[in-house]
Amino acid sequence: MNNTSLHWTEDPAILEQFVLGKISPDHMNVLNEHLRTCPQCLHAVEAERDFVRSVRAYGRDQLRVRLREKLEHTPSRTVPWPHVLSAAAIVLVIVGLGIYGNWWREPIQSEEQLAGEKQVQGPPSPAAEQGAGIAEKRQKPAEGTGGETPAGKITTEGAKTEMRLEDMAKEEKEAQALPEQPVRATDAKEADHAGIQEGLWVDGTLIDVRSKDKSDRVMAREEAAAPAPAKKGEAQQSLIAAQQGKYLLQQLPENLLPMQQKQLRKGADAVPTKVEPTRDGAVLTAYTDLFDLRNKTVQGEFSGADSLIFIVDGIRIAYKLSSLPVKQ
Amino acid sequence: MSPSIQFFNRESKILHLIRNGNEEGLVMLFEETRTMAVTYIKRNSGTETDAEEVLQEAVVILWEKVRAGSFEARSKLSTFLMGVIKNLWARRLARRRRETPMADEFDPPAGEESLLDGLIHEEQVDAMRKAMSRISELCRKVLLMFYWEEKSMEEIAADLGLANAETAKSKKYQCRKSLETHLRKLIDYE
Repeated sequence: MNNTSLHWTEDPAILEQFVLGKISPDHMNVLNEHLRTCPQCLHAVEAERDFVRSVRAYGRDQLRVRLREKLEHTPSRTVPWPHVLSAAAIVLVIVGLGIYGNWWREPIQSEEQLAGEKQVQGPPSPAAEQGAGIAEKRQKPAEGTGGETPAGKITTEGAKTEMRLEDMAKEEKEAQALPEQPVRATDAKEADHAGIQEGLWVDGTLIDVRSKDKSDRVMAREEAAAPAPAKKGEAQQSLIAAQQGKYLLQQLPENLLPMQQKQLRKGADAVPTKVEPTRDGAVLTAYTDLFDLRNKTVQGEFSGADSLIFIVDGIRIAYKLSSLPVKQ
Repeated sequence: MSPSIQFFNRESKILHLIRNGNEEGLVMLFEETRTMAVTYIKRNSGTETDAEEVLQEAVVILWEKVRAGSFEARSKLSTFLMGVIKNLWARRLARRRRETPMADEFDPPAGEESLLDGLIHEEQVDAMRKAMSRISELCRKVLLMFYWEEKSMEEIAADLGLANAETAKSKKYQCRKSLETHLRKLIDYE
């Protein structure tokens, strides 16, 4: 082996170790020295190098193939961009539709619903009216962002609408949180005198008893002006029912008659009277200056089949029983 | 029952797997470095496919180094891999430039394989692939462990369950002769 003048490449073990670099540096120098002068040995070394290089290349190829197979069967931890973009697009569409359609808002009540609630709750308080006004305002921007909005502006317009709706909902909550304000007594009185106050109103018919010398013609006219008798059966029922009750008359000056009732007054002989049902029957307040009861009351008398008559200072006022509330 | 091994971090686990010839370590490494590699290659005139090819090549180089015991863990595995990827990609880009007609007149830089050498090498690798497919599985393993992974005869004997180093040496001799026979046949046929 020390004799390098021989073709050392003919020994496969040395050739192999030389190519694999497993020979000591000193020995390597001697072998390299021989290669400079031996083309045959150089060729053998090159052939051995090609062989080793090819085996290594084969090993790498096989490892790559196995790696590729393993990667194909391993679920990737990274999500491909097209999938990410698709998911983002779907989320954007859903959010956009949500903004456009106010999906996560409480349903806006229609005016009919609000009116229905008002009827159930009674007259609205100022706070409730404020809330209702806000509800109306809420509908306006929602209508404004309808199909007319260009697609490109949906996001910004939708966001603005959302902000407005949020503000309004906040105001509405604050308004609903306010305590209901009681209606002032003075307000009620003023409203009553302005003719706003509702109630049961009837007309009494005056029958002047002081003019006993009146002609039969005049008396006949007055009788004709008296309340028309009801049908026989109906009148009988009214009388029976009314006779069980108590009907009182009180008086107020004519100038206190509500404006609305003044306009509805049928004639000089008609005495506008407000009827307030009581547990037993009713209290009738006659607005007239023909007599003055001075805070006193007069009890009525039943007359005929369907009449209730009050007699004050010789003045008779007749009321049709069927128009009055009766004791149930 | 094999004792369970606790690792300080994922990198230690990958290195342990590769040292033991477990290719799952390569898969883990590939997945962890993939995003970085794709970003780098794409920023440097490459595609995602280029990045995957180069990353595979880099991972295999790391495998060879770790298996040969020549890998020194001075830096993170990902840092080492990115360094290899940058070098490999620079070579590929240089080769692509040489393959354009204008660049034909220039010689390849020193130390780099010429186009003709590359073609010859590709033919040799192709012949080797065919010849390897004609020998036994045990022979393939012995030859790859000796020439590619540069394992000692003792290690080969232990890994493949052979009696001893002498048996492994003898087996390797037979396998090489068999492979050379097939190679010769393939070359003569072509």
